[in-house]
Amino acid sequence: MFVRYLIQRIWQLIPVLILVSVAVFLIVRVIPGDPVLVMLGIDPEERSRISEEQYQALQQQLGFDRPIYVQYVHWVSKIVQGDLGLSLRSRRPVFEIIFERYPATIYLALTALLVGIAIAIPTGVIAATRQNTGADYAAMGFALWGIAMPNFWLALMLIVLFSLKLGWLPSIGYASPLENPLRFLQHACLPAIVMGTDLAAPLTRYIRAEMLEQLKQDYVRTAWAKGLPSRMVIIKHALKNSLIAAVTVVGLQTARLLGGSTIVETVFSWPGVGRLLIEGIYSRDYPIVQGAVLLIAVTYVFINLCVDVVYKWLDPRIKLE
Amino acid sequence: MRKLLSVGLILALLLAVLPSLHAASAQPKRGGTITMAISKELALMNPLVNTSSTEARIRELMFEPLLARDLKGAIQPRLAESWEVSKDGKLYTFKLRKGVKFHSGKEMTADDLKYAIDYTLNPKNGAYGYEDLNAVDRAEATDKYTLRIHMKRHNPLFLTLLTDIRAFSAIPKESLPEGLRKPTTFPAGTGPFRFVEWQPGQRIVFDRFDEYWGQKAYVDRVIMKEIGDATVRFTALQAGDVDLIERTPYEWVQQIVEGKIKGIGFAKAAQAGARNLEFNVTDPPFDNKKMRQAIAHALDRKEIMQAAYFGLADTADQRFPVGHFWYFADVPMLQFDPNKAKALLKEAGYKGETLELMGNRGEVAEIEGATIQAQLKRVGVKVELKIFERASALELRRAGKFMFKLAGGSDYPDPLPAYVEYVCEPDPRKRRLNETGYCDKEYDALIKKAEGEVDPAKRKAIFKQVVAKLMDDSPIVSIGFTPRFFTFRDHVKGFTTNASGDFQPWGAGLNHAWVDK
Repeated sequence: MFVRYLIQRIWQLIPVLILVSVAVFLIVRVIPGDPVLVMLGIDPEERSRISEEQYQALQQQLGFDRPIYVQYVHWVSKIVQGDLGLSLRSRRPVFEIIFERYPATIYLALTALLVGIAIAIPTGVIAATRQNTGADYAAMGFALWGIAMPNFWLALMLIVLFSLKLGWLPSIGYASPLENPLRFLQHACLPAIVMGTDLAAPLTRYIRAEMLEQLKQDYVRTAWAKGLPSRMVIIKHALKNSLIAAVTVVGLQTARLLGGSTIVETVFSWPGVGRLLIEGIYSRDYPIVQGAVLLIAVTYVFINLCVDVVYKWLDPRIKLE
Repeated sequence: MRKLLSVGLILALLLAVLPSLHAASAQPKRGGTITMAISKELALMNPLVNTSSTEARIRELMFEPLLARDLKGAIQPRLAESWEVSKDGKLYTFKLRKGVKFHSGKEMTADDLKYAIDYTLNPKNGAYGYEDLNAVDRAEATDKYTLRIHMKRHNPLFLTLLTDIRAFSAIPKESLPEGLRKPTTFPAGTGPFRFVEWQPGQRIVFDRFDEYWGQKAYVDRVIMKEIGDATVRFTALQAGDVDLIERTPYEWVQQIVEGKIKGIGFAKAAQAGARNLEFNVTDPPFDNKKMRQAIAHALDRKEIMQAAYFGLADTADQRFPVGHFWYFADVPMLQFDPNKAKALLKEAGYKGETLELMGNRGEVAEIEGATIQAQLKRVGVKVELKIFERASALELRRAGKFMFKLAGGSDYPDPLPAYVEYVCEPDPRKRRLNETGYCDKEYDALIKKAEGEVDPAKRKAIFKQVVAKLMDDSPIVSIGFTPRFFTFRDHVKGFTTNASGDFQPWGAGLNHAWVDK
């Protein structure tokens, strides 16, 4: 039954992925810009640099002279074979370029996830157990601040404080955790705090609300009545049940983190997919944009699937149909 | 007394030695690394294909053109030691420098240069220099050190074009794949730095090339890191994560100039760009010359540049700066004179209509536009600012749908490409650069004459007429030059740039920089 559910869910993903691919393909073509000029590195305003003869030759080589549906079918048939095409600027396979950048995004996402959870769970629990006290107001103040704060502003403030004034951490750069874990942590610290805060803020509110709900339940009252120590009641009973609901939030946020934060990666010069996407957009490198957006979309869809599956595993009462 | 004498003697000795010690520390030192933050990442490892201006600037560390343009704009020998041009301008013979080594250790010969030219001329390779070399018929290596270039027609700009690696640069024969497939590493160059590694999104590393034929670099290594955001770039410089950055925001440079930020120096590229006001001369109200001249007289250039560039930019009244070989001091400019502007407006029959001034969003056009708006208000002209996204603005300009606009310009090595822009093209869609729609037979005849002239003195006389004509007709009014700033930490010494802000210009740049730490 579980396997049937899984197959059914995967089957449902196919139309979503087709729609995403059409959208990505069309949106990229609506953006003004000429791929031939991009490839030559010529600004549209200096179009006169390229002769008609050279232009035609290159357009034909790139396949942009064919009707748009032919281009789409060609593109999709290549994707199915795992070929995302060649970058216009570097003429290297997009697949290779994206997967060169993906590890950096994954490492940062996981670090940020840890930071976010480490902030959100204790803060949410404290806020709920001490409802309407100073601690609760402080926690909710933090959540509001975290949601309202633009990422780039927090990033710049952290750089000013920790890199410029105190000189403790580097402002930019990257090192792979597999090669140099310590340097990775130094470099990942500030971006992970920024992204972690972004994740922790809504999560804190969610956990608080869910905890308040659980604490009013009969089984909690029974636990108190049995004389269980409060740590046991809160962590073993109430928190455990609150976390089931939090899985949805964490899951969606993880998908967002894995898509790479364009802003955080740009501010900290982090060599991830988010920055690659921004570079691709700025330089009108269509295949890169298509590839990166497709990767992000697929990540979302896949994580959503995982969330559903984990949900079922955590709470067997959930119906599969 | 003797004691006093000896103390005096010691003091005198110390005083004599101290300045020399100081001078010694000002002597260039070998060794060290410069980490530089750049605004854009490298895209590909083919030196003959361009992708951005930053890309060409990075490649100039490794690759060299045939000739050099010095800091004053004069053409100098480089890989070619000397050259001869036939009388009809159709045959160029270059004598190459002997003993020039590629980074691979191989000696550069005429065959290598012929290969680079042939590669560029093949339209399938998408080489950037294809258009620059369009007058070339074929290249020929007559012996190891002699390169002949046969031309289809005379091109007065040809030598100037050969001073830029974007036309072509020296690479070993057969070192690039044909077509759009791109190499997976750089071919060997002849420049002062050799390529070591490129980790996309992280760093590009160059080492000093010890067998370089010219001024060898002082530093052992240059590391470039891409930091796209200008503020982050400057913060990284202040935090000490990098030693040198390009394109520093003006507000930070101003703070350095005012002494509010210590420990950081700067190098200025004074004419990295230009700012102009351009009129649509095909439609009212600016089809009237007096109307255009009136606006020109109402502009206080100093105030505009002060407002938009923190007082760091120079004003302009011609396409070339004051003191430049191609600046004509005896051509009078349309000076700031509000009374004259008012009189001309009256003569032109201006009745208080609102004029629309167009600019691109995100550039400084908002500030420049607002300043011009205020200045024109003082002479009784109502202006509405129309700021568009770049692509939309381009579309409107192509369709000839604007009254007047703020426009950028680049720096030119020669007056011909700068002034050929205003040659007549009645169809707006076909206009390449002359978006003003300016169309004047006398002007076109002057440009035609300049194109065919080889003699420098006669060329200068023709261009003086060109400039005077353009000044009088005023389809375009030069406002100022936009500077670009490199900033660096105090231990970086000797780094200077040229007017357009190259990393490795001839006679300056990274191979002249050294680290004093």
